[in-house]
Amino acid sequence: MREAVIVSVARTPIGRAFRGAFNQTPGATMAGHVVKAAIGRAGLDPGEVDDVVMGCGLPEGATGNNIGRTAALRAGCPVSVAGQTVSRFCASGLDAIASGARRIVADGANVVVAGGVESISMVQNDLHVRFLGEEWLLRHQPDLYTPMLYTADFVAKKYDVARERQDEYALQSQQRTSAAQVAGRFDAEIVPMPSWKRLEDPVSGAVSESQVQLGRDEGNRPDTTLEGLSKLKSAVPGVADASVTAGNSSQLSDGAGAVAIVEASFAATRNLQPLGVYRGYAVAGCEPGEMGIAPVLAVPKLLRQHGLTVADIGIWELNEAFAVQTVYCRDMLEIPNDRFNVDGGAISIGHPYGMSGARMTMHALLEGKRRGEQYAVVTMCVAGGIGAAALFEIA
Amino acid sequence: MAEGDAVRVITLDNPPVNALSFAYCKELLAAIEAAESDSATRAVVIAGANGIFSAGADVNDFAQEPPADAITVRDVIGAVERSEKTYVAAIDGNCLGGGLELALACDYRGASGRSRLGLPEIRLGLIPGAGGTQRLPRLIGARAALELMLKGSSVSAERAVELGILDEITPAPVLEAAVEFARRVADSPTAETPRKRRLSAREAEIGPGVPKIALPYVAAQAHKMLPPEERGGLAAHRLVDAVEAAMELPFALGVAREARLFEELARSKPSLALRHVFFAERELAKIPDIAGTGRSDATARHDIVSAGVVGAGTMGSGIAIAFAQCGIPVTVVDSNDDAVDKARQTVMGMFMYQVQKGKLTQEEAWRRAQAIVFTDDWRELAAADVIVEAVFEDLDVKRDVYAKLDGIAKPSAILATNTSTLDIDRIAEATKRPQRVLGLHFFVPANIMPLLEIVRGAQTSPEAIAFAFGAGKTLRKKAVLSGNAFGFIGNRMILDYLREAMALAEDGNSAARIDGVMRDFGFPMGPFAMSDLSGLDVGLHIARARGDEGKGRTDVLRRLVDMGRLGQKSMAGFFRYDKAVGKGREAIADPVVDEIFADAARSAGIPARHADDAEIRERLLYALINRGAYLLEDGVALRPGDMDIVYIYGYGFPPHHGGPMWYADEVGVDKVYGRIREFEAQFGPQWKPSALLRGVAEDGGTLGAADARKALSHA
Repeated sequence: MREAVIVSVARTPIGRAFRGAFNQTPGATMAGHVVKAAIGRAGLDPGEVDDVVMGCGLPEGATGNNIGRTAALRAGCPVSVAGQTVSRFCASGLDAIASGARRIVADGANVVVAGGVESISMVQNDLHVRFLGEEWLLRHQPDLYTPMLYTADFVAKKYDVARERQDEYALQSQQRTSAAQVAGRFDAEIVPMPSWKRLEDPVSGAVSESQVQLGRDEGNRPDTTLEGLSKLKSAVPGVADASVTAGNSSQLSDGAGAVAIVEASFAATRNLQPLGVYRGYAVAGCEPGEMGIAPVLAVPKLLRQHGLTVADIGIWELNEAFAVQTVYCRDMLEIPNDRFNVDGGAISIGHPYGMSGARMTMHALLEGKRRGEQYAVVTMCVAGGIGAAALFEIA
Repeated sequence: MAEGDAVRVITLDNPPVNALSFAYCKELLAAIEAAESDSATRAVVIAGANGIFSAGADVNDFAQEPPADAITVRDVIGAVERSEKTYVAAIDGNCLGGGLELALACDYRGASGRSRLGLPEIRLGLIPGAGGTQRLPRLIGARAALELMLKGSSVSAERAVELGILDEITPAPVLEAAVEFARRVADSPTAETPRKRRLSAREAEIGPGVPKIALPYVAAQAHKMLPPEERGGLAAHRLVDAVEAAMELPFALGVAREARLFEELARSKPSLALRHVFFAERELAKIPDIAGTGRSDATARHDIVSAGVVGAGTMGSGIAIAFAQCGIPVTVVDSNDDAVDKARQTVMGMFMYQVQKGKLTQEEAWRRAQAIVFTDDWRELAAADVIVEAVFEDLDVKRDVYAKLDGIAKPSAILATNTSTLDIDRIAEATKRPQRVLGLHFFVPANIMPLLEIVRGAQTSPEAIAFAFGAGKTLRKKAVLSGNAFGFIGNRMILDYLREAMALAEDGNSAARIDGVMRDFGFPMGPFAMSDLSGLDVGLHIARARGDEGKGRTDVLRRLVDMGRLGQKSMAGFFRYDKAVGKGREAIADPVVDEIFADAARSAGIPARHADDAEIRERLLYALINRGAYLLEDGVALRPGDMDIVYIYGYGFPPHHGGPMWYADEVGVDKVYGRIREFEAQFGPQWKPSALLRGVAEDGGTLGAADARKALSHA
């Protein structure tokens, strides 16, 4: 049976949305950068790539026009290389990798580049929402249209997840990321990228552009304290008593990441060193209004499909959309904290929606390998009430 | 200000309310076209005669498909929209519905301080249909527009300026100021006062500080708040759709969407029902034999200078408050000091509550509370124009009261009893003025419930009835005339409804389920929760008064009362109540009651029999309908619509089903009759169909049609 193995990884550092390094860098620029690097790091010829599969949460505007195809061409691939966009909101990058792996296992492709990209800076505030509301759904599934902050508040209240637990978790995230940055545990993933950043003078409002080169993720706040977190006000508009704050939620960010996936025998012939093997993927749905809890449904489904238990998994990446759903899922699934988001996550690093799944996959493989673990699970909650989970065997 | 003048005035003048009927719109369009073809005219001021701008379209016009060549408000507004001249709306008085839509199509809107503006279409199960749903969001934002149109109530000119509907409050005389303004704009427009300010050229925002991307969420939240479409929310949901279209579509497409939604609603069952209710309310005071020549409006002015109430119990104090809050001083007579103390507290508590809610100022509350005087001296009733008696339900007690009142009340005074079970004629006999005695049947709480049954005794004079309707109007009640028969209209019909509810429960269908079925139909509460609210002891008393006690299949009611389960007031009846749940007003299913029903059924040899939801609904509603048909047949009720009003305002019947009698027509009288025949065969003679119902069913007619009585004649 054919097997899909990941042989290289590459990502941009993650920029803060709106005020960060990539606040006016189009999606194709970021995605092209990482696709090119993933191909180069694996020592492949761009013409050998069968398909470029890009995940994107909001695939329009600066990340529209089939970002998979534009990324391939922007990466310098010849026109013969195809491209595809995959979207499952926050799980898009993870879905793209699963989809790329399937192209190899099921369709006979030998080389696929897969990953994800998001430019929240350039897309989210200009989202095309005309005609988004469908009459029947507006009436019968109104929570399909509920902003994620409200779903987080709902989860906090329904499942009684106290503010303190959320803040403590957020602090842990910040501390873990900080330590990992100091130890250089993200360095192997990151390919620094120069960009023109737009600056706005907060006083005069004058706008200028300056060239920067981001070398590492810029969202981490190593000086975070529990006291500081506890002072933050509700981030949920109109809900003063919400325990969800800017400090215990994921950050809005920009970035792109990609991995090169090849067939196992192809890797052997070319003497490529696999980082991990794609083993499988599962999704499950829940009420749209409590989308954050969906990993609790997707993970057992995935593990059952492979005859594994939580204890068999050496390293976990569960997307930190909000601390409230992260701790809820961790505790419901009884995942040991020392194997869980070991170097932080979307709260401390940032969350470019469509990219995060790719970032978490590459980090789980690299960090899992460093730790000598056998299995990694990457799981995420998805707007609309979906959980997604993927299983990798670390090579 | 006519031909040749730079400013032309078009005055809406179609008395009494300047309704924009098809016929009147034709005239109006001609006036606009004349202004348009006069090259000297550079501005047009639209004003209203008869102390009002316009109350909107003529509801009568919705009754049938408009003729192909009908000129509607849409045509008039279309002409204003196309014009290159400046249009100014000069509003003085009510500006509602199509009237406001016309004003919205103008470039400027000014109004006098007394004016009120609104789009009340939702109350008829409709949405504004002449561009209102598209222009208002463009003017004041989608959220504010939606709120205004969903409520359907009007706002003051002051509030309309705050909202941005009006440009200004115009000092009187409004017309002169508007003409002067129009001339100025026409002669020398500025950046602030351009010649044209078409709303159609603007884009709608959601509201201050709300980004446009929040639209789907705002729309979804609006839908979430509304009752389901099938439970009275149809038009409201469609209104959200229309406002969403105003945000998403170019103006012309939005107007087309609005028109499509409007037409759908105009043909919808809920709107037909609500329009029936609208007309039925206007019929109430038309009593065929009063004021001589056929039908006439019985609510001639009969000013009540002061009122009296006998009895300071719950009912008496409620009635006193009802008078006082309409500005009528009222004297309450009761010789029981405890009752008076309690009533005083009730009155003060009620007015203070309104102060807390911000509905009354402290001063006004005090003034109203002072308008109620408690006394034990009957002679203080001597000046009252109307005296409402609300003493214990006992004929002898009441007859004594009336004999006494007769000697004290001034000769012109109307003596009204609030009895719900006794014969008005027996009470009237106790006086020397039986022609001035009638029933005024208030519903608990009398100061809140909008229904008033006026009960006509055998000797009650037409003048007294006319006076009673006048009193009803003063008290802002829906007054319905009833004949003097046991239970009058409302309670007589409810007995049949409750009889079926009991029978279904005796068969082993739980009270909670039966109530649930009726709530799904649209009642705010089911029959058992309603019984708990009015008190099971009261129910037992009524059964006794009618001589029905002990005639039921079981003695469940008796058993519950003996257990001290009197309903909500004792925290247990057919349901149990808990102070911690819904402030003690939320019915909680109680297995104990199911067991009592089961035990009583066993003793009576009634086998368990499951009824599906449809049967529960049919038996309860058709019991109302059959009894209603009898009341019509017997002349106790004048019109099917009168009974519909009684049920909507007195018993929580869902207005979007139009009342029980309208509902019979909606279902089809032949179908209803057929089911009643089946029930008669299956359950017994209590289901014997009314002859009138049979006649209508056999003719394939409707109860609402004028031939209802004719059907009886050959029944």
